[in-house]
Amino acid sequence: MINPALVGGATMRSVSGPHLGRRKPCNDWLELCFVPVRLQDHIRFVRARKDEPVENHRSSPLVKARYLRKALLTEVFLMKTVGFCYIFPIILMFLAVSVTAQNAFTPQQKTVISGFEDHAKDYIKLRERIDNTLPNLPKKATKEQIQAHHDALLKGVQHERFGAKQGDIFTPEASVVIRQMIKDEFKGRDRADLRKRVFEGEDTKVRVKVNVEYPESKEVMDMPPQLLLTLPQLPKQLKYRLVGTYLLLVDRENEMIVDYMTNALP
Amino acid sequence: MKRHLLIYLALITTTSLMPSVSVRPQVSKKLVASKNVPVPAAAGPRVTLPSPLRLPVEKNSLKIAVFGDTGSGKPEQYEVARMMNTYQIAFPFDAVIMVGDNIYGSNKATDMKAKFEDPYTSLESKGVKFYACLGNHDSSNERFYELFNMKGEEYYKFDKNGISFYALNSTYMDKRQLDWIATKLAADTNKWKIAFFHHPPFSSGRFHGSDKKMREVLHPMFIRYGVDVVFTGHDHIYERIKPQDGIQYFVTGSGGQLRKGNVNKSSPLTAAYFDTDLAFMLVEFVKDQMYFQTISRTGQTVDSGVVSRRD
Repeated sequence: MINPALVGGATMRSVSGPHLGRRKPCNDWLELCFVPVRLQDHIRFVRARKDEPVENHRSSPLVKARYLRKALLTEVFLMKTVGFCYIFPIILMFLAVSVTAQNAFTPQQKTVISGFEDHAKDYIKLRERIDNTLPNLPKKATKEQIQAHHDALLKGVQHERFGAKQGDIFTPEASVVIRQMIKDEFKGRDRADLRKRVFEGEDTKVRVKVNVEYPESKEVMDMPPQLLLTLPQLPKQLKYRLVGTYLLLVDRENEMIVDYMTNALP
Repeated sequence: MKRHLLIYLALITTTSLMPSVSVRPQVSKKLVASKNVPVPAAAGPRVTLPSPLRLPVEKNSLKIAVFGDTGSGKPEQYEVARMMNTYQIAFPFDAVIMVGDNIYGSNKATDMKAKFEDPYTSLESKGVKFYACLGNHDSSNERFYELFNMKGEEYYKFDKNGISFYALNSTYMDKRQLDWIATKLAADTNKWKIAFFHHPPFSSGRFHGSDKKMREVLHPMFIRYGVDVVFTGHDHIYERIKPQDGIQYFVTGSGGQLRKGNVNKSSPLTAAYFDTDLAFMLVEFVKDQMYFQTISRTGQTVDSGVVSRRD
């Protein structure tokens, strides 16, 4: 604490309004000490005069800047709170509508899918016709009976479908729709997981050809339930199988590749 | 921005998007290590076992064995089969549950003989029945094989002593099968419900690990319909998983092949594991308790305990 008496009777003048902004000569060295802190005092002064009309203390650029910042923050806050309240539900609704739209097929797509299912059923009819000519395979069969039935059914179907080619069941139109179904279902992390799972399997090197038996020595990649719930349902005698980027239709009993489509993976 | 997003998401999840699945109150399962209660081979004839039986070995209880990933045709498969045969004398199980990959590679008639019939001839000759499910190495035609007792179906159910066993095909979990499981479980009045299939929803195996997609579809259904115990394979290890929502999961995929040291030791799922040799499980149901003892290829007990039935 400085004793004014010790400095030649000089009095410490308070920095008040009328002095601000003016280059008033100050002979008192104590007053000089206050010069570097003038800006802070300016602020203190503005705060002290809050009750005065706004125009009076908004004249300083510093105060203007402060008010501008405050105003901006208030605007942003309002945008964040009020705007978010309206915008977020709208985004959610939009997402819900788009997801529903993805799952709902257009009449044209429905026709394509039902055409695919009809082609699959046609194969089953052909297969049943051949199966009916073979000795019945009991539900508790010997290993020899199973092998004999498998071989006979495979041979019969291969003979009957001689000349069958890729795209007979997975028609180009059906492939497009199914590809889209898979793409819609597997996005982001799911998509990456699916690809990882498929390419980890040892079956990726299997030679895929229509009317040929799937190599029995190879493991079968388990079909993700999510994918099976997405794809069109097949007759009991057929199943889907993923081999690399191919989606196969395989006969459950003779393990024959009935048809396949390419680039099935998203 | 983040805070508002979180508040919104929390609000929405708690109000509208939460699935209305009624979950039964969780009953904690006491897994008691029964090392302190050694039980001698009481029911069967005298036989020298490499390690004593710890199960109750009661007269009228249901006794089964469980293993998986067996059909390699390799010498180790035969060694496990021999050890099972030894234990069957003291612990007369009459059923074996196979959790898939019953025949690896080629599955012609000769393969069925070398990879299944030959190793287990002595068990079959004692009237032991095998109940298989399909793994990712199995042909769909195995469902017709008389010794697998699958009744020509890829997924099926059988009852033994008032206990329901569900064999599922986890390689092809389609809508048809999921509907079947839900319908059968909903109508099931048996006290014990046991499921077995190949791909493990929970596993600490480094090679495959947990099949999360399978978990997503099956685990909620198991909780809802009161499945007590689930046996799986695929990872060639033995692992007892910590009870998940009251359900006890086992991975028993080292019945014919082993992935040595494959268990992730830092996995939070593991209650006990064994990954240094092949193994099979002995299981006994006594009223509301399921006792188990896991035996290695050399006959050592590597895990044991008891699981209480869910209420």
